[in-house]
Amino acid sequence: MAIDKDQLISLLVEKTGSGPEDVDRQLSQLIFRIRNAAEQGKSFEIEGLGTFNLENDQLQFTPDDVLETEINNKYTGMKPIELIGAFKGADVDAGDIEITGPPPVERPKTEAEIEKERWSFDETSAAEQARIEKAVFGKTFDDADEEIPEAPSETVEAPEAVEPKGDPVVRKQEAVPESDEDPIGKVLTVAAVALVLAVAGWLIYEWGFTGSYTMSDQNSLQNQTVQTRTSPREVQVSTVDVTGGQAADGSEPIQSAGVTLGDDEAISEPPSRYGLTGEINNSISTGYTIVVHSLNLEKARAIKEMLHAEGFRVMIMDAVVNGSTYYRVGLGQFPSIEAAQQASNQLPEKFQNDNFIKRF
Amino acid sequence: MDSDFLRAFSEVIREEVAQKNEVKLEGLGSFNFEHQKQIQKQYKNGRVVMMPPKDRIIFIPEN
Repeated sequence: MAIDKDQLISLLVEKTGSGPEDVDRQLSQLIFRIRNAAEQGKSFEIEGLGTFNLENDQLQFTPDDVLETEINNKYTGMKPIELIGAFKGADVDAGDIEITGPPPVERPKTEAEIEKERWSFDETSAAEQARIEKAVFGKTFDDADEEIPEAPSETVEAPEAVEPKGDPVVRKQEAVPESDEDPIGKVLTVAAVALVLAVAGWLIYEWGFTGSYTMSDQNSLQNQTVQTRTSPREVQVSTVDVTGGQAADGSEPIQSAGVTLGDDEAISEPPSRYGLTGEINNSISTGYTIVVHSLNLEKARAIKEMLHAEGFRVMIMDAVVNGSTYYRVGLGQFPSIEAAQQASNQLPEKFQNDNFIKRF
Repeated sequence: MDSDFLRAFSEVIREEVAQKNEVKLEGLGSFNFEHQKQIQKQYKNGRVVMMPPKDRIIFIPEN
């Protein structure tokens, strides 16, 4: 649908509350000033929208960062994904279907399918990628940056986790101690170390990023897996407890995150302007919120009550999409997109992958 | 042309474009919504990556 001048004016009349003649006059003035500035080689910036300027005799518009992010809110935060190994095979297939195979391959699939594929691919290859990255010594760890700082605390635990595989390698080394310069031995050691690091990284990833079950659950889970792996050796049972303790240490940040969330709630009652929890602060007129549902009014109200009972700061916004009105349930009030994104990481798991940030 | 008007103007453009409507400005051009599919792309150093899909606002000048 195209909005022409009359429709634009009526929308502006609605927004500003001034009369149509006044809006018409101001709109013409704005257009005149943009053209004027462009013809003089100056750029014209409208805050919250973007900048107009003349380039090669053509008027160009560069959207403001905020506007760009809002328009792109479905995909904000997605990063380019590196395609390696197995995935290239899939590309070859796609290339076969299309007669010419130029670099930008667009598959005839729905977006949802593609996205699903994307993410499942991402998960399965994460460990593989980590392994490959670590195998290439001396290389910097681009993607694994977050995992590195935690790695030292896991080193004691990690060798046991891969005991079944690590063991033969170690024995082989003992069998040929004098062949220190033996390249095969070195390669085996390197491979073993890489494997250990990869498994450790994967485990950290498991605990660190999907940690919504309780700590006791984690511990028992951890103990079980470790025990089954190390069962051939009874001596190691004692160290299992140590790993359990370490697992607890490792997962402490998650726990404390939960605690600070609670603290926020306690503090937020009297002063806090922005936040995820507590009561809606009506004095805030603009900001960002995390939208978790879009539905009709009754359902939105019911969900609002439910979430409010859980301590969240809940607001309902109406939005017209393709002619019908939806009521969006938003959590929290935040001064910036970054703050909202950060808070969205603390949301219950059911909302983790299914939310977006919206301005109110 | 006061700041209230400018803010309202920005909001109207944003809301309409977000709903995939084209907004025409007589004498200037029009604002449009554009969806860009994910594309595969190769960096100069040989890395092949899949760029995520993207929604954009584009401006088409009037001639």
